[in-house]
Amino acid sequence: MQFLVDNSMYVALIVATLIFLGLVIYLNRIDARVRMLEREEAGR
Amino acid sequence: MLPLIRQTIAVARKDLRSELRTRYALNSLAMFVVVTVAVIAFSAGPERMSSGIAAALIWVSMFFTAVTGLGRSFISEEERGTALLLRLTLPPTPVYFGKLLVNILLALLSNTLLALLFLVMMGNVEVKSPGAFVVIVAVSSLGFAGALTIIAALIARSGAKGALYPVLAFPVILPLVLLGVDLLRRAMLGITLGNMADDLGLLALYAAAVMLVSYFLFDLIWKE
Amino acid sequence: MLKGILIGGGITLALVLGFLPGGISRAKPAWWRWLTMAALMATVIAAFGLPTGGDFPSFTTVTMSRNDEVPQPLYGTIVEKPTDGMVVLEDSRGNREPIDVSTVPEKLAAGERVILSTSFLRGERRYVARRLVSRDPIATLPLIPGLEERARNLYFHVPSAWLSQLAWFMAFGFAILYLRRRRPEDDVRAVAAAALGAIFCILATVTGAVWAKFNWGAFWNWDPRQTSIFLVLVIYGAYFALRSALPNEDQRARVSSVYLILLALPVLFFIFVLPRLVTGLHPGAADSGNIGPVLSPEEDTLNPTKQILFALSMFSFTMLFFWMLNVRIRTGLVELRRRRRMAGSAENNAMHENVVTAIGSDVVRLP
Repeated sequence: MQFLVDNSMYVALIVATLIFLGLVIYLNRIDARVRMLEREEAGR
Repeated sequence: MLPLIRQTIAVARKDLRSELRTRYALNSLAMFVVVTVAVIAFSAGPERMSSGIAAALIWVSMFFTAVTGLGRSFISEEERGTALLLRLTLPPTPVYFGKLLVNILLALLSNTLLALLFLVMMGNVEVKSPGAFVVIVAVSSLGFAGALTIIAALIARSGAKGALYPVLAFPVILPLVLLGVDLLRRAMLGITLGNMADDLGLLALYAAAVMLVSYFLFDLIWKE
Repeated sequence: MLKGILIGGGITLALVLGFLPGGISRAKPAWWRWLTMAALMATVIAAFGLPTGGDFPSFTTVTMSRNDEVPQPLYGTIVEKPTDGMVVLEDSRGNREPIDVSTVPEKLAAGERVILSTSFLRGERRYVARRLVSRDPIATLPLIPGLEERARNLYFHVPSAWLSQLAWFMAFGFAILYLRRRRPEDDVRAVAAAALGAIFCILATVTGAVWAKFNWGAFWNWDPRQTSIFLVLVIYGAYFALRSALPNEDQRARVSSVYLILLALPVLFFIFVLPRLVTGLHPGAADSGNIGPVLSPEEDTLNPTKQILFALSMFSFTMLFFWMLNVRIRTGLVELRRRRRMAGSAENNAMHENVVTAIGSDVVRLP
């Protein structure tokens, strides 16, 4: 418990990193899908 | 210039005449004011009210009165099918200013009635700077009319007219409320017009800005 | 001076990069996306990972104001080690004090830079280190009296607030463009900007409220700045409410653009006039002597690590904003072009469904 309190900032670091990493990966996925759609349109 | 003024007055007169013919809007507006003040008076009873609360209550009443009473100008045109006629016969400027004039008049009347009734029925509320009080109510009425005329035009042809009006009006009117409540409270406490000049100036400036911007925007929504 | 260049430069660079490779509405190249991702992750890792360590004056201020003996971080170089249980620490300003490190398990040597979580025992008037926080750290954040660890919120709260305003002005610009050129693409852009503005507005309000809870005692305080950011959110709400009530596309675009321009008046009022008119708790309010950490030239806000990190956070969040905007706009444009080409046959509606499920309906369903 004391370990968690002492290193709470690092816990927050891991949580925040995971959240933002997730956000960034999600954005990349959507970006890729839209790019695929745009390519389809252009190919048409 | 002159024909525009004449057209504006013509539009205003037309609206006023049709209102006076049925008196529907005027009556319901007046009744709304009376009922609102009555409800407040009976709810508050003999309770002492600080000038801050009194000013706030007056403003709440003014807001809902305005939102209820000033919105009909364009919707009634649509409902009666005369909108197309207006569009064909007149440029947008006199249409906007004509309706604005009517709304200013209605706002001044209803707010004056509201303020008078409020002071009469709430015995223990007093206004120490009546001159300032009157000026503030007048400028606020201008602000209300300016904001609400354009919003009425915006939603005249939309789907959910009734519910949407206060929602759209709220952000535009809020600065008026924030400034106006404080000014009114100070007028009731006896602070003179001179000392309130900068805030009152801001209120007037905002009202003028709204009217000016509305005028420029009206052109864009009036035509098809 | 340098602070202004650093922060201003970061913002300007992000703005330029947001518009430049191809514009807002065309796909961004891979290097752009990687830059954004890297900057953002660097910001998050640094904002949470860098340890806080103060010099003796700030340490004293914090301890005095807290009026307790809860340990606070001290950052300095060990200049002497007279005995095994004692070190002499010299901070960045040259102050030297002896610190009892007997309860700290790690072995410390002279010449090391350390952050020691230390208590000042009032009765005995001496410093006792409780814990070694960091050894030879890459960089440290300053100890700000009154904020301490919560100062990290700065790197998330300020960019969110800034972006909600940027988004507003962009939506406003697109609304004007739409009314001038009457191109539905401009309306797509306006809605995308407004939607993002609303999102960042929510973030700014929430991060602000959390900070307020810790610093001012309650989540909501009627501080004018706090109230006005919430009102901006209400304004976005009114805009979207209007849009949802207008089924016809042309009418929707036209009327909502006009309303957006009208809304500029209250927005300007809330952003600029209100916080300065009325006294409040937020930095930059009428009576507070403190004009805020970003604008102020005071000592503690000039800490270089903090400046760099703040500039980085403004840069990376602005880039993130432009990326999200870019994706939303492109999605909307694809939708628009699709709707134009296909005039509603059953097959087309089925394909539309596939598009929606493929991308994820939250992105495609623009109000």
